[in-house]
Amino acid sequence: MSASKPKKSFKIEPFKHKVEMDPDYANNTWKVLEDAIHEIYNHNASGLSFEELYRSAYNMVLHKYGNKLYEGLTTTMTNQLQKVAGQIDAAQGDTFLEELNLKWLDHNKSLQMIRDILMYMDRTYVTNQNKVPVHELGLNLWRDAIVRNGRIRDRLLKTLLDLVHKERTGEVINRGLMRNVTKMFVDLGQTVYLEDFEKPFLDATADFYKAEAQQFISTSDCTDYLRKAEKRLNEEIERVAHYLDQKTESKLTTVVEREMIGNHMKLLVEMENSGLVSMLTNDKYEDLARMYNLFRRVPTGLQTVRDLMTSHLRETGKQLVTDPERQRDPVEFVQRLLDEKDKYDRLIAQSFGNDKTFQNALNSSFEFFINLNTRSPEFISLFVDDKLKKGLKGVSEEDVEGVLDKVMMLFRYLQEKDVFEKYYKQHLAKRLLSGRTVSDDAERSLIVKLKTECGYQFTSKLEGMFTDMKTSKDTMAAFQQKMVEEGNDSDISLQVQVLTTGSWPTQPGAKATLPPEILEQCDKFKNFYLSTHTGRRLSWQTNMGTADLRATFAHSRHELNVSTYQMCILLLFNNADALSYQEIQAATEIPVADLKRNLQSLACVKGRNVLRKEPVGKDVDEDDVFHFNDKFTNKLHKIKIGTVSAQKESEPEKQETRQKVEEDRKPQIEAAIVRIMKSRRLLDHNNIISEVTKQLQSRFLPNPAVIKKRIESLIEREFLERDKNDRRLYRYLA
Amino acid sequence: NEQFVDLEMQSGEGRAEGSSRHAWSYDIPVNSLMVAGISQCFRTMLTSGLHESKSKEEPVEVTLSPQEAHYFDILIHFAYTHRIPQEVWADKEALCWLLTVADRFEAPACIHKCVKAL
Repeated sequence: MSASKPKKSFKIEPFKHKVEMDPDYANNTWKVLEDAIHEIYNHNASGLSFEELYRSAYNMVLHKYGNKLYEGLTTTMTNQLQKVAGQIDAAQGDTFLEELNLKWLDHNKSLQMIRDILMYMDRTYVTNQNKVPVHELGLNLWRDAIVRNGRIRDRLLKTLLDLVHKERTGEVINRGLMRNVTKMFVDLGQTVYLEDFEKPFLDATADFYKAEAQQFISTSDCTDYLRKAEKRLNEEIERVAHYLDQKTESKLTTVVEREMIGNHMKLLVEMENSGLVSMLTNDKYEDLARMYNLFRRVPTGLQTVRDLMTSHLRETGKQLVTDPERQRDPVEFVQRLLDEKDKYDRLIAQSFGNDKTFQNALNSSFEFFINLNTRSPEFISLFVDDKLKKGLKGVSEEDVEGVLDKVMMLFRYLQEKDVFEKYYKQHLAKRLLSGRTVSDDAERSLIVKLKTECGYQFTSKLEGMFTDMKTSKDTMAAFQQKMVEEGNDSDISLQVQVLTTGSWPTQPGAKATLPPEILEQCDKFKNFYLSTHTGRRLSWQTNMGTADLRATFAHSRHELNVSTYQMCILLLFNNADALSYQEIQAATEIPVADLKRNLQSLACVKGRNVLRKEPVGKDVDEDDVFHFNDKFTNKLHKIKIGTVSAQKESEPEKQETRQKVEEDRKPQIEAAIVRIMKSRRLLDHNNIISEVTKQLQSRFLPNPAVIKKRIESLIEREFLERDKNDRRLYRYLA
Repeated sequence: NEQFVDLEMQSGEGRAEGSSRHAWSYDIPVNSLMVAGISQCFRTMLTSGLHESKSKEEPVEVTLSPQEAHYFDILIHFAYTHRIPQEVWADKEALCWLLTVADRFEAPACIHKCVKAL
């Protein structure tokens, strides 16, 4: 453009000449334009010639009268608007807004036309002089003359807020009008909208809801309150959609959220009989979902909910695990845990949109309270035992998987996984030996699960147990065949399971004198086995076996399924009708506790009392005498006599198991230490502790004091040494 | 103003034509869409709601000086062809005239071409 400029002025020269001849030209032209502007405001625009006006404006600008034109326009418009302001102010009551709106539309239309006429000025003069463009000028003038007019301003604001208030209290208002007016604010520029309308509006909103929240909270319970709050919130969002600027939505909702929820959060959540706790206990999914959605909107809302949920969960969980009543029945206990877990899982999925933070809170809570009870590992193992023994009969494979998965989930919460392993091993051994496993597949699948969870080491022994069972079956088949071949068939059939010592949780020293006829068979097997597997030692675990006996009573014959001990006792009565406790003990050499238990189950259980005890009583004493109960009757032919055994471990047994676990842990800790030191060479005490803890986490939580002891023991055995300069550093000695 | 030429355009649906005269007036048949396309000024003129946009029957009047009239012709021509004639292209002064006219009627495409040529 700059190149063309001088040329342009050069070309214009002949005109200038003419203009100078007519000094009033500018004034005259302006007159024409000014009249036109007035006409436009009076809705007489259609009579004007655009071409003429455009040409006039063009010429004025071209001949350096741009300034005059601009100034003139400003004054004329200001005057016009002053008049308009008067008209608007004169409007009474409800017509006020309508009048304002009408004038605003008029002004917009007029402004549009004026801008068109003065387009040339807009494009050249205004840009060159850095003036405000015509359209914006018009808006600014409107803003100053009308919206910020001393009298109109307050009245306008008050009218608007009144209308909103009316709608909030349930009246119907003219939303279209509202929209136009608020749109006017927006058109006048963001700052105008913000300062002159939005801010006071938000303040009014805050006041309104503060009052309302106060009223609600004192009159309604949590559920109702949340419902109301949700409704209000939706109303406000709708309001924005109907007649407010979109950008207001977030601000408006923030205000409502703060007043309705943020400020009353604690109160709501902790409300008695209807707060979070009651929702949780009563499975109020819908209400919880509502709470979640509302609280999510305020900054610390979810945190509040989560904290309370966690503490509630821990509280109930703690009650659950420490309640002595519950501990009577481990299966029930674990079932309760699973139910609780299920419930919260469902709750989080349904109400809390599977929020990760809530899931974490749930997990940590469970971990917290499950480990509160040191017997949890035992109980879980018992639960599995129960399920696998009988609970899974007639249940589809998928359901089995489901139950096992759930158990695994609980297992994951356990810190002392090795304790679980210990118990699990015991229970599994019992199941396998007594042949009471319902489904091998289920057993195996659980072991696979454990394996993926804790690694090969954890389950190798369990798997070894399965292998033993299998090889035993083969061995027995071979043995039986051999017996038949040799022709020494006996009416006693022996089933032996050969167990690898390391894999099975055997209790040593539980010896008993077997009846001679059995012993004979045992010896035969022993010879057979050792002839095929040289260099092995067989020892009989009489406390784990079972036996089927055929017994003849006065009225009936029965087949009795008893344990090996019970068999020993019963066989004694083949030769005698009555035996005293002392005699039995001398003959069988069964350990006292076991003997008492077995006698109890033979003599004192109703319907199973193949022996009679004298004197009659529930407990077995040292000087009791037992008779063969000839009058025994039972509808069934086959009778299973269980041992009166505490399914749970008794106190000393428990101690023993714990001690065994502790013993087992020592080499594990040592191994971990050595592994770490081997790769690190040099490490200080705290780091060792943390590394060891990390390594063993999947099995149990080692106690730092124990670790320290192990380190010392390793130093003694010259695996490690302390650094000479820094006593806290350890060095690995290869 | 005696030297001014009146140029009239009749705007309508398809074709535009018509003329009246003073000294040397001549008519240019134009398509309203074409001129509105090339010139911001005409676009506004035909849509602003003033006299010109209301009366579809009457011709549109544009007042010009004689030289301008000539170049206005060229501008209209440009509106159709998007090309500046060879003789104008060669003549700097003619280009300047065209530029002035284009500037007045706000025909950015034409302005751009002229500026480039100069």
